[in-house]
Amino acid sequence: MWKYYLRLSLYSLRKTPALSLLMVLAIATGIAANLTILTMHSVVSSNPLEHKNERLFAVQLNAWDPDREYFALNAIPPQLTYQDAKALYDANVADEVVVMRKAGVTIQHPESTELPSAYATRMTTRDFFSMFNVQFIFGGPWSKNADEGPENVVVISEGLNNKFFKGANSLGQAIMLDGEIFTVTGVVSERWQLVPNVYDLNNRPFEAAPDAYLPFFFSAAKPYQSWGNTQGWSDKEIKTHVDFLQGEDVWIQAWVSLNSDEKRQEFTQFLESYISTQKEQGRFKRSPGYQLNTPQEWLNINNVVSKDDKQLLMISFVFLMICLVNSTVLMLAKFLRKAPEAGIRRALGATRHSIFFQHLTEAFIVGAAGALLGLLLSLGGLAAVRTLYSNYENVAVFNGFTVAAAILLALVATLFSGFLPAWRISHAVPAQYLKTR
Amino acid sequence: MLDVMPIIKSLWRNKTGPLLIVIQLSLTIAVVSTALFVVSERIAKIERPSGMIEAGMFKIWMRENSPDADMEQIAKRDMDIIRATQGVIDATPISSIPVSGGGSSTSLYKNPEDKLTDFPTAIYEMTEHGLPALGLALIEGRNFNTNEVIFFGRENAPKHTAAIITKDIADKMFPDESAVGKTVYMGGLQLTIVGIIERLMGPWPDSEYATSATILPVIVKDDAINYLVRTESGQRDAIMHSLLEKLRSIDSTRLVGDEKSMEKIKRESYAGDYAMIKILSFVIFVLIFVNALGIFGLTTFWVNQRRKQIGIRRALGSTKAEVMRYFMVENIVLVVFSAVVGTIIAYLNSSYMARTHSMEILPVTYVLITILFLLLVTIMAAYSPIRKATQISPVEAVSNL
Repeated sequence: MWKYYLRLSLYSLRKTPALSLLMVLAIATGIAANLTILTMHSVVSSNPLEHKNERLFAVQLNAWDPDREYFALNAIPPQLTYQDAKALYDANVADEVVVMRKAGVTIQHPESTELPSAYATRMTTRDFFSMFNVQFIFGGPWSKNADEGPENVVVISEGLNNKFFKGANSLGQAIMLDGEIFTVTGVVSERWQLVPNVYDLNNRPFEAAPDAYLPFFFSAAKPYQSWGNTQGWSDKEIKTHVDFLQGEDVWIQAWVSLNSDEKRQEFTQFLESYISTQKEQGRFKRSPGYQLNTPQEWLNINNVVSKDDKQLLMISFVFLMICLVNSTVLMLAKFLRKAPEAGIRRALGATRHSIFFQHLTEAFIVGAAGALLGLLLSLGGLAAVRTLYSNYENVAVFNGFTVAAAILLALVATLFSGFLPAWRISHAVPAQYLKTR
Repeated sequence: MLDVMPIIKSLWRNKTGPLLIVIQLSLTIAVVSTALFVVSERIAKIERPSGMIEAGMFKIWMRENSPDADMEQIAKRDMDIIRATQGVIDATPISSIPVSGGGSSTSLYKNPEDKLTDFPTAIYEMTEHGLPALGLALIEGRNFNTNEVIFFGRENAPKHTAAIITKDIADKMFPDESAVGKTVYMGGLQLTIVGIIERLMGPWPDSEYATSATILPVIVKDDAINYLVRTESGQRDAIMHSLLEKLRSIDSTRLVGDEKSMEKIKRESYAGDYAMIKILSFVIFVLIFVNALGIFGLTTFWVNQRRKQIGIRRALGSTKAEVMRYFMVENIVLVVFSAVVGTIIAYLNSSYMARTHSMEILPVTYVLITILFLLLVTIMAAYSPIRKATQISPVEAVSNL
């Protein structure tokens, strides 16, 4: 039966090419706009650490100004002071502990005569690599000793490896970082990229993975060029790097993994006792003294999904609805114009049911064509979004979600725009149309 | 007298189509007026004057790799080279770039003991060439003297310095008197205000304090610094690239790069706003188009449906103008209904966004503009099918019977 409906529908659509095209275009535009924004939103609002959401925690410690609360986010600084980060690391309570910062480091091949340039470098403890599931193509993380030494070891990105070593296995090779020789212990795969990069949401949540990684505690030895945020409130003068390390400026991100409830308890007990000893020294006058946030909570606190994103999402749905209503109106007009035909068919014995499904088939063809065209148009839409937002290379990409959403939208579009007209025509009284013939 | 009641009655009798059109038009009115408002807000934000003369302006970032380099000498040497370049108006070393998204901020205090009355401000460190290089308008007091400019290492920070502040923060701190000559405090540093400039944006355009800025003539000797250069218009890119080469050739161990025109810096800083403007303008355009097509399609259909009625009316003495008026009024009635519903939807959304996302309430002008514009579009889209209706000959009324 449905083959017959299909044939009738195609015939009917061909009879009014302009109107059919308009309906398909209306649906396609709505679906394209909706898919573009929906895809963007699905990536912006995703949590790449979902599978570890119960075990990972961003650590916030509140050693901020006793006179006023921290001015943003959840009123607790998002980063730690050096002394607190060091204490957190030294305590060795959590299953994994990451303290880190973003720096700009000059990287050169020792034999190269090229002009030096600076690269985005993450200075971190080694647990970073296991905690955030970093994939290596060569080698792996450095040792625990290298963390504490710190030893002159470096992990580089595949991009940097291609540039300096032409993609060859560079383990054990030497490169110059800010004029010092470092040994490569690992090369990170190009495919590894958290979107959004939950581990550091301070600056741009969608920026590319770092070019290089080196042990965090080099930060203690000398000032590296900070490419992250440094915030302070204290009037105490900072004359030397040691003053800076001992001061109240916050500039370090900290994460812990706590794999069991016992660990969690142990860790909170450690924090509480640490804070109470610090209180005796006149620090930590604000409350709460600390907060542990899961990756999802951290994404929420940092407003990774912006007001603009939310507004665009809402607009894209209303936009789709307007386009669908428009297509419904056109389809209704078309079906009612064909009412005499339906009247004759009814008079010749076709049931309401079959008239309804025949017209719904026609609506479905229009909906499917619209969804397909919309899917194609959304490729253009996503490309446009990538050019509009410079750092959205990882965000505005066509993915399985887009296709699934397109199929769903096609069904919804058909039902929404076809149901009413099909119902109306199947309930028209045949006699009325026969009479005028 | 315009036959409005009979028209409404007739619309009501065949309500499915008209109802759908009202839904479509009212949602359109709500979306378009909201989008128009957001677009105009963003344009106003981007077009806020920065206080600088941005044409011909660019920056270069420089970092010295050798640990015992003396930044003071290097910066002064580089400045001499830059200022001697043909086409350069002026140049200054600067701690961070206005409107660039990265920089430093702090609070000023009138009384160092009263920590609760603070005046947040962006901080720029530059030399006496800063005012002419940025093209800032001094409205009171004076520029820095050469001997007030200090390059200092972190280990011997000055305790006292001159400062130039924006009118915005001067008015907040000293609403009833001139700020020039006053002493204010910034942490352990004592500032004497020597001049007030009309305007200068801070590094963060989204900040509440975007127009509060303080300029200090003291430059910390770190290993990296920015140079801000203003050139004669039209020569910017050529000078930028030749200076880059020149500065690199003097000392090949240091990093010289990240060169950007002020135009590009602003474009990057406002990228999100530009994106919203473009996306929403596109939405407005497409929605208007989709609606025009909808009205066109529906009017064509209605006219075709009622060929016979029109024929009868014409046969009974209606003029072409009366037929035209009937259909026009019908469309206008639909727009009026939609206007009411659309306004309600727009304000429900606006008050929700205001409550949950602290956005401004939609000004009524945007709704009115949208309604008028949509009315115009409706009339234009309906015109051609209606004109066809007026061509229907009275003979049609009888021919088919």
